[in-house]
Amino acid sequence: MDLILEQMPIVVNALNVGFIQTLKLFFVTLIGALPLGLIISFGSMSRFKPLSYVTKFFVWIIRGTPLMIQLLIVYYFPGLVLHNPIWGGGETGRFLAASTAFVINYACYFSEIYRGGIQGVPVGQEEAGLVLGMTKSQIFFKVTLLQMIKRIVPPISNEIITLVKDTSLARIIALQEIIWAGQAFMKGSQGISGAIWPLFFTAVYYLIWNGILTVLLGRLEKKLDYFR
Amino acid sequence: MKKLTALILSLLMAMSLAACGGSSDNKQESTTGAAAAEESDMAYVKDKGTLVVGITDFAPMDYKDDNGEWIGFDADMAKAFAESLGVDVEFVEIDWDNKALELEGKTIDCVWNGMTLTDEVTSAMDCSNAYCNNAQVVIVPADKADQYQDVNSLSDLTFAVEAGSAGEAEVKALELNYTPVKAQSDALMEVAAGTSDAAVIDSLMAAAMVGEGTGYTDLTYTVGLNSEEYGVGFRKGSDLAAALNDFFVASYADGTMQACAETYKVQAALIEQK
Amino acid sequence: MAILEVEHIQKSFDRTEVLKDISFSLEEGQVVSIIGSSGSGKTTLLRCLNFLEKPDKGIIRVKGETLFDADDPSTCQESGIRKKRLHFGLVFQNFNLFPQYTALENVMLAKELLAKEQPDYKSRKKEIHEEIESLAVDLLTQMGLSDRMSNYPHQLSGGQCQRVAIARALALQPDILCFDEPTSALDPELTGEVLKVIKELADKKTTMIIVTHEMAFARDVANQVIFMDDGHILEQGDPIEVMEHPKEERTRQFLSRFNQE
Repeated sequence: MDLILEQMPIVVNALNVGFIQTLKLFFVTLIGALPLGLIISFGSMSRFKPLSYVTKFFVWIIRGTPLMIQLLIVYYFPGLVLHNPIWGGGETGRFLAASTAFVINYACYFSEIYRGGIQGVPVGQEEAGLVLGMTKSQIFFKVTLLQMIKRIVPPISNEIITLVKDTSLARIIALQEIIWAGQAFMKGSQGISGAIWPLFFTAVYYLIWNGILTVLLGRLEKKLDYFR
Repeated sequence: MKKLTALILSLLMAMSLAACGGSSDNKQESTTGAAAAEESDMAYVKDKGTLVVGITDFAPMDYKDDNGEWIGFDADMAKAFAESLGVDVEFVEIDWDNKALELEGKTIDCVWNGMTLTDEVTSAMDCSNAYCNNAQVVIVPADKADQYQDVNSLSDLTFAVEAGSAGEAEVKALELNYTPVKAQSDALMEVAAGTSDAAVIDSLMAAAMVGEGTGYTDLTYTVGLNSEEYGVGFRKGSDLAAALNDFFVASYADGTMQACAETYKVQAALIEQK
Repeated sequence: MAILEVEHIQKSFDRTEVLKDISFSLEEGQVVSIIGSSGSGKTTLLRCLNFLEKPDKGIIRVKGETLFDADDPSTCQESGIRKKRLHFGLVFQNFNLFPQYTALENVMLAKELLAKEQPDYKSRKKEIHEEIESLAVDLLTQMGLSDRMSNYPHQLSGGQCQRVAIARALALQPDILCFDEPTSALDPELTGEVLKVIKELADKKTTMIIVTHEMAFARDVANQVIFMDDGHILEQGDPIEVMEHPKEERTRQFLSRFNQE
């Protein structure tokens, strides 16, 4: 116990650094994937069949293969096959590659949620708007958008919570997120070796962060509770 | 996990081979022209001005000092080698499972991290001459150490070893029961947690991590299995391996390599370079 | 002159002909009830009048102005449809109220959006808003909902929802108000309150087209009854005439089914 207290400041510092990497990946993924997902959902709902087929095929590939393999492909493929290691070996390159893989992967999941949300709004809502002389864009922004958001908040919340934990997959391309930082003390780092507890202690970070997100997303859901 | 990575690696390799195959006709037409067009690895590294060294946090070979600077016997030698080439050095922590993938994908230029020269390593990379001796040692709880002092006493034990490590090769050769784990440190944790009876890890690592004053005070190491050697790995076909051999010879001759080894207390394991 | 003239409307979905040569006219201040079995084309006819469906053939004229003529491409363009729709109001079977708005906001929304297109909107913003609000309050009061104005649709009963929907349609002051089975989605004990407000509108000489299965109501409220069968108008005329002395065998069969119930 004394040993742990002694190690605590060093470990917490290292875990904080790793957790900042985790958070960066988390936010970049959300900022990229939330809008990209909407674009993909419009693609898959397009009345122009070739676009819709191509989009659905792409979504099938991304959702049908493990994110871990997508990370490996995004990071190593350019150097291995194209002989042009665009990402470089440094930390920035690894982060950018991880972000790219995460944004694409999550955008595909979000796109399906958006699609469900848009198609789940009864067609009568649009018709009611039309007979009241509203334009298509007025109907979208004043009538259907909020109903769609209400529908997608619970499933998107689920994905967001999953995303927090999925960020740990990025260490397959040696992105030094929090679990990497925790594991480092098992092998030996900064004078501490063979310490197992930092790895398990990372769970506390995930728990607290997911707790905060759950409360915030719950509030958003509650805010939309005034109508059905 | 390891198998999955290997699968991806081989898949990507196959694809890259296919890509190379497409252009092989041109190469045959004028070998000299192709060689000139495809610059040597040395030229490639000099061109970008940085030698990217793939490492893991592995005292006393590569580890961080209090300022966050990478030091250690390997790290210091890598800095000196880069200086001799006239390029900067950049240390990048990699996933050990993916070291060959990192090299071929050109995200790193060499693996310089107390790497045991196993068949697996030498077939996947072009390696330097061996520069350090190492042995695989058996780790057991300290209170049971006296029961397991020779190879014959090990047959009843269950082992944890790092997948793909020299230790795994040893337990396989001795036909012992073992579980492959992700890292040498995981193997130690298995023994500490009692989920495996024993582990096999590098003696250099064992010296640093097991026994009095370490994280695993209740563990100790007993039998030394086959000894082995450390080398530095480069991309296949790289001319940097030969350059490093020359550099090792020169630094051994002027004593800088020995001095560096003494700094990190590995001088006993150092192999003469000539 | 008739306020609404419908001539030779025809409409098919894929290969099914849903409306086959429909013609009728309606005088200002009059009410026409459309009856007939399910699938006879009643709802499609209303949707055509509100431009939710585009007829394949035929002409729709309101107050002498040709809103739609299948043979005249200039009347079929998407761009003009929005203004043309405003001649008609439509009350849906399922109300289709906007769930995120209160009863009052539901009534005001479309009118407010339209007002924004007026040239003097910016200078008279507040005034216009107040005008629209007082109109909406009046309408909801008229519907007997003065104490329900700030409720959301899910807090209202079906009958109350439908009355909000009627107020919402009336807010745009359409020339002709259409009802598509306005009581079919309601519990039986709630139909009365909706039929009562429609009756009151009829008494105020509101021009209306009502598709309904409430036979007694259809007869009492209407100046004219249309019986539709398989995409045709089989019989039309005075309510008593059509419903008590039908000329056609099909009409008799249809009505007798209702009388048994």
